[in-house]
Amino acid sequence: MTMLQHSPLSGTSTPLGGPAPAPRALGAVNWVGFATLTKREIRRFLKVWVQTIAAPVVTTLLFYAVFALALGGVVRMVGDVPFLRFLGPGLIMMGMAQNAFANSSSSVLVSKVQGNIVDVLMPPLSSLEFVSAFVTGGVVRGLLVGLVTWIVIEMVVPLGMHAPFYVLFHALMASMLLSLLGLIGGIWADKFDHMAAVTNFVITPLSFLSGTFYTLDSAPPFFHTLAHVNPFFYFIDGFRYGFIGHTDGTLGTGIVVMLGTNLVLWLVALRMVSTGYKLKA
Amino acid sequence: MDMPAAGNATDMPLPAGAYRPGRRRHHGRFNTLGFLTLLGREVKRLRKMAMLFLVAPCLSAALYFTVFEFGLGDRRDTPEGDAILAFLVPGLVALSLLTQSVQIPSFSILYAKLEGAILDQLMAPVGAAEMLAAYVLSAMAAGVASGAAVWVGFLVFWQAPMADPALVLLFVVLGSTMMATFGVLTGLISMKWDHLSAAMTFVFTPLIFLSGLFAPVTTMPAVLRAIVQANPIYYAIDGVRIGFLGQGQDQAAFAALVLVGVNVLLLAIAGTLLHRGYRLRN
Repeated sequence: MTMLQHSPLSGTSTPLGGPAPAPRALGAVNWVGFATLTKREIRRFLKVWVQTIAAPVVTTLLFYAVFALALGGVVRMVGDVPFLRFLGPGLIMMGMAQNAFANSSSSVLVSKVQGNIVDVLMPPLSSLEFVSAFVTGGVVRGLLVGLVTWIVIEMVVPLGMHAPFYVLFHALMASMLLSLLGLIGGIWADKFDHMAAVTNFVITPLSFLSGTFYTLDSAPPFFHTLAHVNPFFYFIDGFRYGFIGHTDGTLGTGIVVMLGTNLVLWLVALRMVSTGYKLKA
Repeated sequence: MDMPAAGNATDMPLPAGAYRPGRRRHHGRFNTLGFLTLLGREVKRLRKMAMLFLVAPCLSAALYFTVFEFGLGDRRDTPEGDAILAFLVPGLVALSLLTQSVQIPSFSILYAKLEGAILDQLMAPVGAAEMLAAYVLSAMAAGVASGAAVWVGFLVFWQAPMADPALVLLFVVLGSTMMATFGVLTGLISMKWDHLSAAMTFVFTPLIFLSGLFAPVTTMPAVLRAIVQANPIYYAIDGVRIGFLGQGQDQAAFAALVLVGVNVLLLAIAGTLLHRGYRLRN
């Protein structure tokens, strides 16, 4: 109350009779707002960690067991790498990517459906702060899922570490890319069916046909070409290179594709949020 | 002729659904009308979800197949590789059959509970037997439709003839009944969506995946083989596969016996819980 008396607007008065509060100065970046929203995004998935961390880890490990059992007996080596070492990094990346996507998309869509999206639209948050917070939430979830899966797989099948920079770079870029895609998808979708359709018909096929389970040398030319326009291929390939030093593509191209795709998606997401597309209708 | 007096109010046609104290309805032991109504509602629900339970399983079966085919590497197009794929196809048909059979009723029951719509059928003269039959049959329909869609899809690019259609049918019925009853139980036990998704992720998906779906048990380490053989889903998938491939009929009788036993047990538990109104009437 004492603060209000020093308001520069003390000439006008509020309905209660006191002087009107001064607008809060936020500076160029609303750090408090960004940090608050980011914290919300992280706590949101940590609260249900069984569903958001443990479940994807179990699913990934199941895939690993299944493919190891079904193909491990016949396909012992991929190039000069044992099949199980080849498979590990791809599966870790798949789990990370799918969960980074699921986090931001479900967060935005649930807020929209429940109507509490106004809680993040009303505060003084710029589109950059808005997008960054949602993307950070997805990235943190993706990285956590990847880290836990990696630790578990490492205990069974030592994957090794060939080039840590590639592992980190691709983990970060892939989580960011999928998190942005999830944000864009969540803003676009009107109901859960739309999101399920995107996950089933876009994200899952892209992640399956990316060379996670096979080396591109063994795929027909059509799938070979298909993989090279699939960003999933580049981040799985680069991530795998970081562990085992085997690459199906060109690492430099991969890095350019990752940075380029991320840049485009950032711009799309920022544009969607600043125009309020399907958010402020 | 004993004609009723003109203008007698009791002979006026009453509006539909009006209370008629004079008319007593008898249902007998099984309310067929109630059962058919509930079944009809469940089937209508399915029609709206066709995209989810027909198209999505086909796509995921195609993805699994592609991934396995390419994963074979230089073993592709060899007898060894073809044997793996021939083994895989009936497994993928069974995968969608069983997954949809368990998902459909659990989702439907939990949704009705959360929305409060479950009251509509608890108030109606529909007992545990009618409810169980309606849920299990509609789930079987969904499972069979989804498995058939996957199979027909495979016929386009992979020879998957049924060696013994009667055997396939038997195991399809036994397997989907078992999963549908599991689904009813999951729907009854779950109190919120988290419970349902936890049951799917931590119970049913591992059970379905570790059932000899993708690899023959004979190639597994002894410990894993014992675990797989204690899993009732293994017998359903194995039975469907025996019917498709026509190999190993000697095991079919035992598998059918196990499934009949599990089904009787599960149906009894689900019937009792429904009768008591477990987590329904509170």
